[in-house]
Amino acid sequence: MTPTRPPSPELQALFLDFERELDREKGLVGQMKALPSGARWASALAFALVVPGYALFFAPRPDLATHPALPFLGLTLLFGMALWVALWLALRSPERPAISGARLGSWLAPSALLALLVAALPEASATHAAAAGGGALGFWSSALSCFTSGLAWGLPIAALLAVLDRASTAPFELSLPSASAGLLVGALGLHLHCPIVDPAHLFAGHTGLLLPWIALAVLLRRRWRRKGTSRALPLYERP
Amino acid sequence: MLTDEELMRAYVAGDRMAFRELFERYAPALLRMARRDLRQPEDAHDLVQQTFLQLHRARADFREGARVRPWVFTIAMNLKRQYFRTKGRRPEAPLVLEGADDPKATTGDPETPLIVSSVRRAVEELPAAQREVIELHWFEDLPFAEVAEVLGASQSAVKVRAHRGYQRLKARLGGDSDVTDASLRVYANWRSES
Repeated sequence: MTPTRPPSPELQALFLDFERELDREKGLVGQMKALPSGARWASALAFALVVPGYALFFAPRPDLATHPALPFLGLTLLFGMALWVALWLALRSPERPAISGARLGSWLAPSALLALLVAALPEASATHAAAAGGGALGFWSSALSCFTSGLAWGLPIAALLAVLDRASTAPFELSLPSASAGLLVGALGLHLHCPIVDPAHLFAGHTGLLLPWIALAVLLRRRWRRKGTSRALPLYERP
Repeated sequence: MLTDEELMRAYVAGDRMAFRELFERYAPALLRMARRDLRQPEDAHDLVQQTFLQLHRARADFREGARVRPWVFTIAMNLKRQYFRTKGRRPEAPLVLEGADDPKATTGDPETPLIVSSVRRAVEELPAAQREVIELHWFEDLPFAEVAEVLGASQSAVKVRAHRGYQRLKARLGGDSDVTDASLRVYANWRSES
């Protein structure tokens, strides 16, 4: 493809705008978005494993030694696979064909929701004597504690993915896959850390994490939509 | 003259002017495509800027064997889809044909505005999957292999979509292959000149 004529004044002005945009990309966020995909993957994966690693090695659930291995490993694997899907979708580069909203949902929803729902089933963890039934704290205290911990554990990875997202049209745009990764890291951390197996606690404190993540993704999207993503100056306003 | 890929490699190596050259090669076609579909001039400008911004962000992944043109069009198509997903609607046919009153665009055959208008409407009535293939192959001159790369589909699937789209256009434009081909050529010329 070769230029057939000199660039029009409109295109020249557009390029000047674009150069200003490029200058803004010299900041840390811009540099992180421009990292090679391998480096983006490695940093996201390392970051995503911090919370589960910490929970498993430094603050494991007290009933870990007596927990039935098969359901525990199966559920951990389920969370891991769902997290992998979310990371893969969140880090997908824009020069690759986009995945439609329907397909995105069909990949994310079964993996993430299945992991969350299975984790909340009593059969997944309440079959051994050492499990803490309702916990030592009251219902609301323990549920709130897990809820806030799970949320706080997921926020850093979601923020990192929003920064690494090359396809974002706003400086900080939380995509559905990034929010799902945050949700799953928090829920996986809770699965490895919390010994309470009361179904009501699991639904309120663990599966309930779905609500703030959905709300956060919707709110952030609305905010950017209201502000508008258009950063190109209308030509009639150009000095 | 350097190829697109040589320019991209030069840009990755730090030659900023190489990116300007790429911009000058691709921005006109992208702006035409965006202006036709997005209607609002500032949205069309934004799409072009975002396309090059995302190309700039992805430059570290540009490896030997990669091709610039499918990258550019893939990014632009993704952004266009994202735009309509956000706006929640498909492109609408304009009531007044843009550029039809532009003397440059309508010199020669006085029937050109009419042909352009009817082809444009026919194209916009195509299902999105067929319209994308027709636009990229017929109007942006991308071979089927590159169209397949841009849309993330197999070449055979793209050819099937192109064939079905062409059949619909033919039915809409009178049912004759020669007339359809001639009309599409007139429309393609008008697009490249407007």
